Amino acid sequence: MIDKKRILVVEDNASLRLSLKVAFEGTGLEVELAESGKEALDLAAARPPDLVLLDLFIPEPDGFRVLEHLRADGRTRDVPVVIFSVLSQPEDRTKAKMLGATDYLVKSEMSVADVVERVGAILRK
Amino acid sequence: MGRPRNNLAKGTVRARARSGIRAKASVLVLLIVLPLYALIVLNIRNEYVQDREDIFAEASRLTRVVAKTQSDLTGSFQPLLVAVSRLEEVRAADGAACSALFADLLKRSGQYLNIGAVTADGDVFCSAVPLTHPANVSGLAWFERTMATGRFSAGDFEVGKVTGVRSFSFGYPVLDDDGTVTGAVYASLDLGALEGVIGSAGLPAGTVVNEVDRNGTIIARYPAIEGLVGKRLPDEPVVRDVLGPLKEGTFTATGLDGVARLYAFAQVDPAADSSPYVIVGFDRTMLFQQLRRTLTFNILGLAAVTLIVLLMAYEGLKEVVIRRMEALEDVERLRNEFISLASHQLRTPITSVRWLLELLLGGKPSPLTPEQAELAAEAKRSADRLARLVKDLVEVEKGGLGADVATGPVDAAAVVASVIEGTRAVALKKKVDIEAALPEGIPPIKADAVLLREVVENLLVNALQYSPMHATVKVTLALRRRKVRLEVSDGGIGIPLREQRHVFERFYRASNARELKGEGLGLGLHLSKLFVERMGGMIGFVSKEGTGTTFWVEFPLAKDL
Repeated sequence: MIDKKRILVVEDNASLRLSLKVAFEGTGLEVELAESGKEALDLAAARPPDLVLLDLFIPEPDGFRVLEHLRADGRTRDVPVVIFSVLSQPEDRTKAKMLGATDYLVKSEMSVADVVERVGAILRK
Repeated sequence: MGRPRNNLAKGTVRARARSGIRAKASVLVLLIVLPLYALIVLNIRNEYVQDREDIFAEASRLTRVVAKTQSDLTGSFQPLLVAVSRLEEVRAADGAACSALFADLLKRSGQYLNIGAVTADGDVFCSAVPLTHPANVSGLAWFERTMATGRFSAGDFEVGKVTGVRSFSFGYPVLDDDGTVTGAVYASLDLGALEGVIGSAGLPAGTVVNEVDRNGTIIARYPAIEGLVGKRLPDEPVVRDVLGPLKEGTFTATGLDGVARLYAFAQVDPAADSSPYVIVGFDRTMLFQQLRRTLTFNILGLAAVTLIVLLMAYEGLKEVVIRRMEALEDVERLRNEFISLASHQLRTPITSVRWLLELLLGGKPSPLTPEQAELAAEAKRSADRLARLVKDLVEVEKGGLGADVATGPVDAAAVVASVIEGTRAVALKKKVDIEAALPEGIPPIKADAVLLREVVENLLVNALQYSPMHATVKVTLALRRRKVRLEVSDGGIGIPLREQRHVFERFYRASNARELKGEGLGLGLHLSKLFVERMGGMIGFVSKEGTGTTFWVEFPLAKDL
């Protein structure tokens, strides 16, 4: 059982947003959804979440920029940010790590259960 | 929206194509141009050689003309001397009568310096120019030669015994009725006369003529130079050649005045014994000027032609290369676009389908009925299959270079066992029995566990797919000659012989395979080969149509590397 924590899911694909919302709410988490980088930053600034699940390829600003902003902003500096991508490019992983991402998940190679499990593990820490 | 970058070495394709095309085109141009070149150069050379020969021939001709001027001059000597040698006054050695006769002859002809007759001892008893004192000609070349040969002979440079003037003489023997030589008659020539007629030969400017006697003493020089007449030519090889047995010839040398010349020499009077020679020296620069001009023109022409040919070839090459490059760039761009499309655009919706189905099957948001579950399960299987296909496609497009390979020691037996477990469901459906022989104690191989798994799965799934029902698939693992060898054998449809060499090509599916099972991209074996080779292993097969196939994979041991 996980405490009622709140995660912010930043994903521009509607189907994936739905899947993730259903999956995470099924484990008792509160889920906030954002479709774009701008929306994500606004929501995060207003109410800093316990974790951000951040897709890389989203409308302006893109995932990396959002990550930078989150780390730069004092309110969200310490919030764990899990990067989310369809691809597994080494340079993306490296960049994510450098910018301060907590983890890097490749959507296309994982089941939704795996994603929930990984996020859960980070939240528990 | 961010776009995924791709890992391809962008320059590689281009660079390889560039060097290949450039090399081939260069060879082609060379093959065409070189023989042409050789022909042209040969032609120029021949022309040059011919022109040179022409020049030499012309020099010889002019020299003969000069010689002729001389021999024209001295030509009259022989008949004159022959005639006078028969005169009674001469044979009788009647000095007074003879001298009067000769004096008259001298007056009439004008070209002789003196005409005279001598005894066998060389005493002059008869002379056109009055004798002021007794004179003896023994020692003079013309006399010695005439007496020795008994023939018309030319003398050497001399200072006339009677005239005291530098002259040149010819002699002829006087014979008595028995044919014995009793004396000789002679005629002398003023050397100035020799020089005088040379000018009529029509020689080009800068030409020098030396007329020499058999000793190499200069008897005439044109243009005249003070003090040169009477001097001997230096004893050099060319001089010796001239004075040797040859009657005519050519040679090149630098004259005493330092001018480089082409020399031609010829005998003045081939009929005379010890005839003098004329050596005509032509100014080389002037002579070869025309030749040089022609040669220069030819070379420049060749250079111009070469330039034009090269330019054309280069332009043509550029056309070929550029067009090819552009085509390649198009291909590369399409390829990159495809990869981007497949990588990103396709995977996202596929992932969402899979996840949604996964959630449904997991009872979220609420449980499904059994029938609903069955449909959802089937849908998920299709979605999983789709995901794999896209993954394989992208993998293939990247040439197997996309995946990160983490090679390390891998327990092959464990991987194989795990894969067999995973395919149990498929085997069960076809009632195919998997016989596994995975001995203990096989040392770890150097491989990437994930890729190895893919390969083994591919081979096993193939074996299962193309086996008939109730068949057996054998999977064996063995250590052979420090390599671990995996064999997957089936008693299935086999691969037709003439198609066997295509088996590892991408998108290739054997005809009988396609008949049996319509769907399939034909990527499995291609990818397997890529992966195996990336891990440093080898893959192969033995197959007989209708009987079955055995695929084998060999890996080096981890500790061997």
